[in-house]
Amino acid sequence: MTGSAPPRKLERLVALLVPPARREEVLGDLYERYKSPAQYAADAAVTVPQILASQIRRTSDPGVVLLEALALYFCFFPTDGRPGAAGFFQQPQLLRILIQVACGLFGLRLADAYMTARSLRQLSLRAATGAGLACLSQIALSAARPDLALSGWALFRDGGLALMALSLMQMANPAYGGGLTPASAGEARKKDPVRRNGASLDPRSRGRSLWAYFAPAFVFLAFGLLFAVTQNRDVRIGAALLLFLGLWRVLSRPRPGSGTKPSN
Amino acid sequence: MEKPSGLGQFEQLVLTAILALHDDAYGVTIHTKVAELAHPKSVSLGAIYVTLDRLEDKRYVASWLSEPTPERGGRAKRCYRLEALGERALRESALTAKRIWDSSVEAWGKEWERKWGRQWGKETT
Repeated sequence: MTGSAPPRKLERLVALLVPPARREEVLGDLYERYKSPAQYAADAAVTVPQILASQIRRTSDPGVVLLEALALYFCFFPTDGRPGAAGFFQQPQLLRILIQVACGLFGLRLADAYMTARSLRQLSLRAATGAGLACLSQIALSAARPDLALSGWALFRDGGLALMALSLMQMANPAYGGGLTPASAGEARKKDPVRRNGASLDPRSRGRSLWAYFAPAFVFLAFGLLFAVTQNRDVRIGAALLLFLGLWRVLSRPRPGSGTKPSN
Repeated sequence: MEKPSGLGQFEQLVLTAILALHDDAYGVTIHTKVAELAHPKSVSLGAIYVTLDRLEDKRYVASWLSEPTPERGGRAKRCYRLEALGERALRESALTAKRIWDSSVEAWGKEWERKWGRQWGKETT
């Protein structure tokens, strides 16, 4: 250490990029290793992507990822009455949907990594990131391959449907809202004023509100109706899968207070 | 009793560093120690964090935040300590390494062992 500190703007930029759950120690370690602005920037450029990848791995629940992939898949699915329904399993429809699902899932995983509290605001932002990235992928695709991309009213309608489905699904299920490991939650509450103000950092310790009962009922009703009304066999399979997985996730949720104790 | 799963080479290095550093095991010191152990390979700080996360998920190590210090810009350190499961996994890895060494000496002879002993002596001085 040379005794000098990294430039404040640079440090603030790095702080913005590091997931909040790891911010404290990572910024401190980078500060301690500081020699010059170039060395600090290079150190951060190598370290931050690795921390982000690790945080995404830690906050991703395979069951939740599968459920969200299915939800996105069927929100952007060309159902009966829409152009392209007949040729779904032929290119380009399948490729278009896969691109949208991949981008949407990436957005949701990023949002999970940066999440600090399971508040309504952050959950809405999370759903908006997922649905927004899925729609943005189509806008980017329309520049390169307009024949593949979804545009106009269809994009607006499917994006809105995805936003609604993701919002309701995550509110129905307390396992959503990664970002925080029980171990980091206690410390974070003490250290970070933003987190301290959050209602509860550990989703498993949260009590159930009226909304927590209403949301799953609404999700099950919506997918149940989709299953009953649609004539499309693939949509039926998808709706049944979503119903089954959703029910499994809700039933297998840990009871309040049964989470791992903080490690400190 | 829970049985530890096998350790990767980098995980062994990180656990050894935590063991050697006792109460002073946190990001920067662990990185310095691992870089020393992995010489001549270079090690990034990010790789240390990723491995520490993985080891914590496997419950081989435990972590806590220390008090903030001015030399870190008023930020806390995340300190690590070895858990019983991690100690057991490290001991098993060390025993395996010992068996590899003994078998190599048996196959390649005492002369090879002396030659390597001298080489290691040079490296450590």
